Amino acid sequence: MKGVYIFSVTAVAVLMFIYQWSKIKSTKKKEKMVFSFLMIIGWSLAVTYIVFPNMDSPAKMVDHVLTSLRNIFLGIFS
Amino acid sequence: MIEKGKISASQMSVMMYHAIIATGILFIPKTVFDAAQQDIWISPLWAFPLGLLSVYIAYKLHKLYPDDTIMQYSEHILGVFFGKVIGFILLLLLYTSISVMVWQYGEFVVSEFLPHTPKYVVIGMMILLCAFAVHGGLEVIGRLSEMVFPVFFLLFLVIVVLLLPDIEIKRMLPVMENGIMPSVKGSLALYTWFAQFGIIYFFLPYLTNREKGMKWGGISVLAVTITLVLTNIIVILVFGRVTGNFTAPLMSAARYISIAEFLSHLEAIVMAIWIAGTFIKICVFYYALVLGTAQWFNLSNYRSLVLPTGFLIGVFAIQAFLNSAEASEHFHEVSHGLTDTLVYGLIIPMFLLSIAYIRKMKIFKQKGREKK
Amino acid sequence: MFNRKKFKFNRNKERQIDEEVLKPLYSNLEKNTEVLHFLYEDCSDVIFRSFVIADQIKAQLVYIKGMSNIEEIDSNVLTPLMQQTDQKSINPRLLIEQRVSVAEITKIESFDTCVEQLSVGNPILLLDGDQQGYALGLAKWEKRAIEEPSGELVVRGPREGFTESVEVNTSLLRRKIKSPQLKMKTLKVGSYTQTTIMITYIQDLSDETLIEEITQRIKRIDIDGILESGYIEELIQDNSYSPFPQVLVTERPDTAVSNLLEGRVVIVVDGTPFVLIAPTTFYSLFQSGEDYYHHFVISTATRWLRLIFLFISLLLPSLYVAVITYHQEMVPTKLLLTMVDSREAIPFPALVEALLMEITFEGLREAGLRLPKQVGAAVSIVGALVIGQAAVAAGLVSDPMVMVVALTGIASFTIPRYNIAIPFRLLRFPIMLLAGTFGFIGIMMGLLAIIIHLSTLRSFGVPYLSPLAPMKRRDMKDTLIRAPLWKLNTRPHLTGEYNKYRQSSNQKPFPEKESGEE
Repeated sequence: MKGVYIFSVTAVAVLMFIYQWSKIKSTKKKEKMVFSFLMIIGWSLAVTYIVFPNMDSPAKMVDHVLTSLRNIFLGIFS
Repeated sequence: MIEKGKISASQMSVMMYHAIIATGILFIPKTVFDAAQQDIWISPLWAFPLGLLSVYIAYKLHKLYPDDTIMQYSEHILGVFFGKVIGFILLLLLYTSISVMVWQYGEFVVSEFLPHTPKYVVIGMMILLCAFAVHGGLEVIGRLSEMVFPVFFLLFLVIVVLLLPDIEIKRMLPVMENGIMPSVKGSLALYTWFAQFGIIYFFLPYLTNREKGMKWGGISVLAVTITLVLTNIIVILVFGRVTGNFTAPLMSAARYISIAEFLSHLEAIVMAIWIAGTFIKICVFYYALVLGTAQWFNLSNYRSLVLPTGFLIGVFAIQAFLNSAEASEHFHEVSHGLTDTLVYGLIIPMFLLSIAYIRKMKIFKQKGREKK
Repeated sequence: MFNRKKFKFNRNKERQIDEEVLKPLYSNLEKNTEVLHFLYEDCSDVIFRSFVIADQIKAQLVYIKGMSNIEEIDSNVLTPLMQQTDQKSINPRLLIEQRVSVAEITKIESFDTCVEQLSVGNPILLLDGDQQGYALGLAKWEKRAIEEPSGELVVRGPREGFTESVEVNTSLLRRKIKSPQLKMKTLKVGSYTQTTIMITYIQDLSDETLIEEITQRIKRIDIDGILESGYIEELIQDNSYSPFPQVLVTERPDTAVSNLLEGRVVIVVDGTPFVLIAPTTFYSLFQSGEDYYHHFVISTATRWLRLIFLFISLLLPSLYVAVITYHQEMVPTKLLLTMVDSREAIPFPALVEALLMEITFEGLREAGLRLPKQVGAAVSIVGALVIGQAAVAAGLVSDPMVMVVALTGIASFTIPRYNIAIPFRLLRFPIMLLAGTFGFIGIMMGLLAIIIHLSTLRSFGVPYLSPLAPMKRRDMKDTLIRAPLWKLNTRPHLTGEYNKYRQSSNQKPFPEKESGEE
């Protein structure tokens, strides 16, 4: 089952890549780099989450950071 | 400039109205109810100044750097390195907050209406649609929100009117049973929504009539407050003490509408139009994210980033919470007032503004010394 | 000059003919005749008539059969010239001025003008020893009479429509706008057809840059031939992939004139009664010229009716499918029972049923459109049976579905313009699929996608959805409502600077109160 998910995520990513890559002008190297950078991050994150479904999402990580920050503040003031 | 389109201040106002109210109208009553009980309709009034403050700070920063968005003037204020750091934090927080929104949307649709559809299909479709709009640019989002607004608002009024037979005034009483504190505590939850007004720092430079930015921003905050007060009043009048049992009380109330046996079970229509509002909300944040990313990397065009950003949003949103227990933990934190939106909507701009003023004063003093 | 006077006879091969045609006329008549003979080789419809004036000057008259007025040629050109006996006045140019009694004479200096004049029907007169030729304005060919446009019928309003002749069409415009401010620029497009295209506008009402933009876009066209204004439309519109028309097409001079008066540009193309109007907006495609001839309350009601039926034509089958498949609880119980009852025997899911019926209906409509009238009647009888009683009796479709399809068909006929009705007919099908898979949410997604697309469109710089999005409050009075004429004081704003007021305010009629009243 995981294999199917990984395959479909990869297929979507590759499709997006092919579609967008031809549309970026060849003179804009930087744009191409940022685009591929984001695509690679997105794809690898997707695969990671499929393989380890219990990993924390950014939303929860931010929650953790914020709550610990708040606890530090409350500790200072109390 | 990276964005060539221009919108009018009133379009921005309508956009922001959707950006706040779309999820707010459904989820706020329950979130606030835990603290405020029958006084939930007072809470928006306490949150109103905060919304105004976010708009004001964004506007003040805009006055200092009229052609730049926050990604650019943070570099002017803090220097390139720290500016980039602040920009990165901002983008990260935008990612988390948009992923929560999309998750809420997906969860709600799947649990209430399409129980047999996998969540990633529902979310993927929405993001694809939004990508289509964001690719069109700011002008398109502005026009879309103008088109959706009358329908959305009309529907809201119709629901309110159709619910009138079911209300009972005594459910609202006693007003301020335990003083004003419960409602103030309830308003902490609203800060999450009202702080999102800060995001106008991405749109102010692209207004055709910049001087009206503050005025229309204020009108937007006011409209949101009024809508929320109305929503909360009608919800509490219909449900009273059981409001807390519903995730989306207004939607549940719409189920109760039954006029002449023909106009009944309107929730599917309500849902469809609510989706239009949510679509605008996601578009607004999605656009801000894409524009911000492009400016962070100093690109000359943001359109190539639309798809990869959408992909990332999708991944984050599907993974945002594993189950509703985790989600309610998150919203419990939210109801205590400290959230990501507050950081990027209010705290970071406030920080930037104070640094900017301090630096300005220094320059002013230096100039004074030179004159002496 | 806007005329591209170059005929390209063959895109790939450089032929002698290409060089010949660009040369100026010779002073030797025989040489000229030779070139013309060479150009019109194997063209049996081109008539060469040589004659001699006053026993001295050799002359050649060239014309195309059936395109020139032969009686006038005889009586006003050949007779006076050939009867000339006075041998003193041998100056050929003077001769033309004195003897030829034709109103319009154009002087020709090169062969390509020669060909151009001949092809519009003007006979050419060439004289020996003269490096100029003369094109005589005696063109005359068979034209259709001015008739009522069959595509845009009105209850009240002028009954004349444009015809295939560009001269007739521009004269129809000129007859309505007497001011010399009505300007017409001529372009020739099509390397073989050299079709005349008139860009018509009212000076000071239309934006200069708009006219420039339209001219540029038309000049860019390099194509073999323009047979209909549809060619031009497709080659100049902003978004060529969009199914939505970005220029207005009309057969009615009154519609064209009212658009001219709003500062738009009318493009008249020779050979077709359909003129193009640019820029246009989404809402103006749903308006009929008649809206301004009836009482404003009636017109407003009609506009709303059209809007409602537009949504019906787009959404009704999808709504039906969504309700049957996902949201049965919305239907009142009694109605639901009858619906379930009638659907019981149907073997297909609602989506398949709807698709089947809609496609059949579209097929029937297309068949009825193209068939000769005698056969058409038979088609409609058979069609009524196919999507009517027989289909229900055969157990293929349910009764409510027949009603839905019929209502959808009627709804799509209420849209006053054919070209805007088509995209909605098409988009009905993807939305039906969405409704079948996601219910109301799918319909909403489909609608949003359409609105996103419409928001990205522009017609010559004017946002397609204006004045609703972006909102222009002043122009709202003539969009969803039709305000009374005495309120329509301002022109709609298109692009750039514009001439704002079109009439003086305070024109609301008020009867004089009789002194006795009070």
